[in-house]
Amino acid sequence: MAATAPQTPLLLDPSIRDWVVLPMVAIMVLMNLMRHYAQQAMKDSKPIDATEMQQKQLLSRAARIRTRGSRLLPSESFNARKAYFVDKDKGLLAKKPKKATKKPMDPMAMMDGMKGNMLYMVPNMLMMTVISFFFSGFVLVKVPFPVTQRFKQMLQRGVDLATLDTSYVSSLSWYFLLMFGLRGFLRVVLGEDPDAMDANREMQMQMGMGMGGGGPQGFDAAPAYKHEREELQMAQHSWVLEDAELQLCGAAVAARVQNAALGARPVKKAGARVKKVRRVKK
Amino acid sequence: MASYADLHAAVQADPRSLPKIAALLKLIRTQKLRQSQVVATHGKTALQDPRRAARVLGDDVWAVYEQTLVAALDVDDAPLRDACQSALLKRFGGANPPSQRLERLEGLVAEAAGDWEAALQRYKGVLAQNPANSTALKREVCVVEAKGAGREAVIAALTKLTATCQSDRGAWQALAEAHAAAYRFSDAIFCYEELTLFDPTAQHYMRRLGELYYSWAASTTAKREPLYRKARVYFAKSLELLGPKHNPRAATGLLLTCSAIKLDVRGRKSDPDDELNAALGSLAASKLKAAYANVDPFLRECNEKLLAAHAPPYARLLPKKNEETVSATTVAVEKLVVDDIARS
Repeated sequence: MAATAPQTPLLLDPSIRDWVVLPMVAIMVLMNLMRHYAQQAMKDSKPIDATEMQQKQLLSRAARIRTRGSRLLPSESFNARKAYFVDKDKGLLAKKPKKATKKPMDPMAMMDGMKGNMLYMVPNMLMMTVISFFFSGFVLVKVPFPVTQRFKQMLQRGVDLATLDTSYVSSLSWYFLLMFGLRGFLRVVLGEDPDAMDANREMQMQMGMGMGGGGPQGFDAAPAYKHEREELQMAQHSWVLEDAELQLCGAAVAARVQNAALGARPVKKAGARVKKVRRVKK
Repeated sequence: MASYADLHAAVQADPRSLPKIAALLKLIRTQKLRQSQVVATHGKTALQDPRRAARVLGDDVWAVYEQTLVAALDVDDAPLRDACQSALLKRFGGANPPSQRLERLEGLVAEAAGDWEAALQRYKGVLAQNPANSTALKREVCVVEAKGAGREAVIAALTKLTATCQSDRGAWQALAEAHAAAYRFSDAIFCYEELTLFDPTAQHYMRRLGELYYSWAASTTAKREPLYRKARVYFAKSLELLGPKHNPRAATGLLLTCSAIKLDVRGRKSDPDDELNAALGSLAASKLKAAYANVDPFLRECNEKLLAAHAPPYARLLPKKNEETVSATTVAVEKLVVDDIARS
């Protein structure tokens, strides 16, 4: 059934191009621009909390020691740090973390997170309704290459025709394609390069990105501390730098040295054991 | 992305073109280069006609003012400083609470004039608004240092800074160097170990750790061998990360460490590690010889003297039996330490 369908190409009305495809592109671009400027207007730069920043940095330092330090640090340095962080009485992670001055349930803080989401969700939902109300049931464009049946759901949302070739795109799908596909275009249009950020924000970014636990809102130090303490407690030390010397002096010398070292020890041990056995016999 | 050299050449070719100057200054800003003379010269040209600058540069003009102000402080150009400062004050001054960025600049101006108390006052104000403002925290340390408050005060300030900003590499490094200057090698090593955790493949941190362990070993009367062995490991790691052709400093360190292990510590006693030690020493020696093959004759001669004194085979360098075994280098380092402690 579907195998015979592609042979008859559909003729798309030029006025669909003029009155549906192009307007939709224009609407999407304008909506994205509007969203961008609305975001800029609503954004307020509030300083990050000092206590919270310190706690996040402490956590990331502990994580660094756990992941990298166990290999990079000599054993006594690693163990000293481990004790400094996880010691039962005095360890930094064992102490009860100070509560950040700003409560996580602060309504303003929650508003902040919602603002961003709202700015994204509301226009998207609105647009989807508008598009499906005005432009539903159309086939708008044809992608210039054949696609498999699997893409039917993606490209022909809103048009339930089993016989229609998959490379035709319905209006609702065109909307989705535009929504995700316009990002690169907008970045060019708005000239938003990452180094245009002012120094202050950049600084806050690198100071605040503690990685550990939770998003920007509602960071709770106590469980993060506990988790990190357990992880660090379990970290095993194995120093990888020791091999650097052998690696540097080349395979031939390294093999000789290692053989000498390995050869020296077992001989001694074996000798000792023989002696003991003899004594027992006597 | 155009390089600094390209943009600079473009501006040199056409020193009155505002867009070209703007591109150059932006690059200097974002890459955090310190080219104060260039910034001051071209920033001055760009800001000569404030209206035209504002029209061409848009909002970027304020960043250019800020940048030019800092550069003017750096090259000590008072008229340019005053021009930038008054323009910024006119635009951003009088806000409540005061702009943190402007306050920092005012603090810098006060620092440049040597008015430490006023500068500290500004930074205190900024920190009262935002205790996490790391630039203000750092400037405070700089003021302590510039005031001539002494090594211990600087170390205390830096320790405080690293406790607040634990992911600030510059602070850790400054603290390490301050400790090293006070001969507290173990503390300096601690700081550099933190730094290696930030960047495990940075050869210069490894090399510095080797140097610190070497200095520690050379200046201590306790067990030296473990310290020398650590130094050797770190020098070897540094050389592994960056070849000796571009890293002669680590190669020199490795050479000196190997010779110190054999000549100062072990002497005529043999040790299972001797073979590896000699192999590393001769490796460093040969690489150094190659690295210094095509340089100034004077430098080559210096290098040859160094090799003559430290390269294997060590048998020729070992003191005769019944001779004093303390080497000349150890004595010299100890004397330096004693002198410096006496002075401070």
